Amino acid sequence: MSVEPGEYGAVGDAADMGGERSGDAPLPPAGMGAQVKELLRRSWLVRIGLFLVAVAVLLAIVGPYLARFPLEEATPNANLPPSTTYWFGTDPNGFDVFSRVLAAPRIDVAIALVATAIAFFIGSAIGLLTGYYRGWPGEFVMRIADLIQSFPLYVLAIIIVVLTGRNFQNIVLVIALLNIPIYVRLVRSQVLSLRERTFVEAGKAAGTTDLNIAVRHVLPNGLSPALAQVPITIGFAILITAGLSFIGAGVRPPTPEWGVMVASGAESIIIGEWWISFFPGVAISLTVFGFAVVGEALRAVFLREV
Amino acid sequence: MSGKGTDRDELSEFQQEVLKSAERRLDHELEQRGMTRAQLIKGGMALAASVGLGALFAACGGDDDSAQPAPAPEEAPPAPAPEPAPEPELAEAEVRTTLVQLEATIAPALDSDGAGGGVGRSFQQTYANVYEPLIEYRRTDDGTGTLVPDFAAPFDMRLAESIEPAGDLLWDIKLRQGVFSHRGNEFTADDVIWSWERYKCVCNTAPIGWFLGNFMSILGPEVFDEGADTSLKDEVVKIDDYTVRFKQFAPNELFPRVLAIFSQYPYDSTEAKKHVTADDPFAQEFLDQTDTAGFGPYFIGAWEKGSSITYEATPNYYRGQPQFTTVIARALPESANRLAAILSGDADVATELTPRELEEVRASDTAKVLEWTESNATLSVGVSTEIEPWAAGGDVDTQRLLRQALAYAMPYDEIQSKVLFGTARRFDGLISSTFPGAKSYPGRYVTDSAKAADLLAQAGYPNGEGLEGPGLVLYYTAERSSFLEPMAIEIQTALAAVGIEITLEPLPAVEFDDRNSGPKRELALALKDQEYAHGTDPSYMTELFYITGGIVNRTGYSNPELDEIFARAKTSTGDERLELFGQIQDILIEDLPWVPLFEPALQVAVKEDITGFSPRADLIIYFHSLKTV
Repeated sequence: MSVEPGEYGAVGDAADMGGERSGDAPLPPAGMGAQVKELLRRSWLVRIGLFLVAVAVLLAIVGPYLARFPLEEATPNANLPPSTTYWFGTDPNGFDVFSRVLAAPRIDVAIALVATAIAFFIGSAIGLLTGYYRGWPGEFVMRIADLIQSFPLYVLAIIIVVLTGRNFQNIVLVIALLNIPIYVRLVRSQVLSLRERTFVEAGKAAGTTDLNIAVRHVLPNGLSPALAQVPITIGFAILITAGLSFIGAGVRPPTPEWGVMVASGAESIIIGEWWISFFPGVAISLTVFGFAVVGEALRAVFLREV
Repeated sequence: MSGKGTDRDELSEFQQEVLKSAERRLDHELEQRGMTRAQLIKGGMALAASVGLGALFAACGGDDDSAQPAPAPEEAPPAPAPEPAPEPELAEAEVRTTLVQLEATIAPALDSDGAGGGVGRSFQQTYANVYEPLIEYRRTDDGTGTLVPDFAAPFDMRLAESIEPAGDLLWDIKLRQGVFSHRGNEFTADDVIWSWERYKCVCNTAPIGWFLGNFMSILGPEVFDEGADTSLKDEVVKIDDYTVRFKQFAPNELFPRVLAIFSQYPYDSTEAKKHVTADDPFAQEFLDQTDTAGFGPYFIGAWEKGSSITYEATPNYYRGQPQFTTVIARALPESANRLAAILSGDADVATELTPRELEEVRASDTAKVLEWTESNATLSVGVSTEIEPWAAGGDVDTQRLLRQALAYAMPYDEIQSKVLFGTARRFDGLISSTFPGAKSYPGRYVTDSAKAADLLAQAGYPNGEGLEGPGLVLYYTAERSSFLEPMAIEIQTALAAVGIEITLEPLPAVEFDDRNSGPKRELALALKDQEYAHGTDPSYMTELFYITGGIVNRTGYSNPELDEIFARAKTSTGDERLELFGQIQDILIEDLPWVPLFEPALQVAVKEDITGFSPRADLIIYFHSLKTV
């Protein structure tokens, strides 16, 4: 689902996003806002995706306050199936699964948002500089990016987290590091093309400094693919966070976090206690799905602008 | 794989077996719970959710070797049988002769003196079944067919026929005659001598043999002096082919008790010497990485390191042939998978299941739980004396108050009921209660939040205020988190109630052991359930864990008074010795280098018709005594 250099001509349309294609009519050539509105109107899938993203973000803000029971205090009510008291049942520690599912986005979504923001800003800046100022430093940076991306993602994440320590900051930095090369590539490839455009030559002829041209004129025109990548990165970051926690290399228990919760119930499925892993698993799936759909929709919109 | 006529050809399709096992288990569950398949789909969706994350793990390289089919055995050792023992008098058609055991891990190496240091349940199980001790704890049937050791009874003679005093600090051991290894080599005094030469040479990575010899006051510490002569002198000498003489350098009642510990089992020196080189004078490479050379009831037929071991019965074993002449031990890391396999009948034995999973086994009609409730296993929290806030700036009185506060804050009842399901005994002392000479202090520490708060206030931290430092972390092994994590969370909740806010940190077992080792001591609060004392005596446990500089003193605990009493106790005998170790335990229960929690029962799941469980503290199973009803 990620956008690769060279794919920019493959502009999506409403039909790709689960909408009803009326004939082969493309999205009308209008402003970005209008395009988004049109996409929302046409595509039920995008509407669902946006709804899921909104719920996840909202829960990241207020989720812990909606908890019906204490989130991290063990109680005697362990391993109870879903009931009118415990809607999603309880886990081996007596934690209310429903309350923790609601509270978990505070960690998962927060890590994903911060990590993505860091990756976006740093990756875009590096992409701009290495694209605009070509030469060996740019090549060197790209080889570093190759190096990072050549490692299996989770192995690299586990190694770094284990070496640096399991805490919020380190998990954020690891996920950001893994995603920076993506933004470097996306922005650099755009800048390499844009720097040859006539408006750049015009700027130089007018005596504008290179840095000014790069930041004020080239960057705004080259960011669209990177912006379209943001929701996809967020979804993937949630998956990495949960994955790290599932294997014990991420968030520390008993912090309410979806990966930790799935892990705590994984071995109980065989004895019929399905609810401990099921509900956080569904929450992960829906959230990642929502961000992915929104990312694809944005890609359809942004790439049309390119 | 299971039932009558089990053979290894079927086991080679192991992945298929596991899948079949899961299917059968689901059918079984449906039947027991009266559920419909539609209802079960909910469970299937949960499985899909978790498997999705599991797949991510697999994608990052966390593949499970145990799920791979076993390759052909590397090398089948020869098995001459000079005088095969008679087969059991049972009709062949009615008797299963192959036993399948599932374990969490399989040993990657087999030498007690090697890099592994003899640590690890799988390794020790191999050692205990392939090698033979000179003496062994007497075992009695507890009425259920389980053969439990009696630590207070006189030892049973195995490779030794008798142990008699032969003068001041001298002991003559008469060796059993007519004992052969599976290679056909007869056991003689030369095997004992070569084994002790190997112990004294301390040329292997982890000189456990020397260490235990030192515990019995046979081998002295001078071997570690620069340029020291490490050849065996008069510590152990050959009197004749079937008699050896041991000489202690000081009185010590740990002799001969320590001879029952696994790494004191003699080697088949005739075979081992064939693999000696100039650089490897005691065949460490062969005995560690390739094969074993012992006189035990089994030998290794095939060994896939880290994945499986196939044991074959020694044809001429002097105590007779076991019913299970082939034992296949395989690694299956997830306890839920081991549970599924034992419930579906695809395995005969499954070890290291959680108490909750064992409840499932008890409720089934295909398998049962064999247990030993009087084991010397312990469950405790080690408290560092060197990491703040528990170090209290070096003030030992404040340290003691803090540790006692922890002990009063512990949620004993919750752990017992929610995690251990009532199967454990309270650990009411600092020496395993089944050891002769152990003292118990029932009621000394019970959950009492008010008392804990009072002690915290006395220590200068009312309601936990000001209690800060890197030591507010409770560590446990990640591999056993399904068992330890609920316990850790209970402890975290209970400590928070008195104002002690801690975080939890599961660590991979290798990292846990490394950082918790005697020299490093990096874990401030360590929740541990693997601290077994093989030497069943207060002296052994005190020297290991509690004296200043003890080899596995993981907390940095030091009490000069205790050290002084121990020095006298170690060389004392009889009632005086007991009195001195009583004083030591009186000190320990007040100082609490560990916060003792429970002495868990050792439990293993077996197929319904299996009996003859003969456990050790480390849940090692002696295969020789296992049989079907």
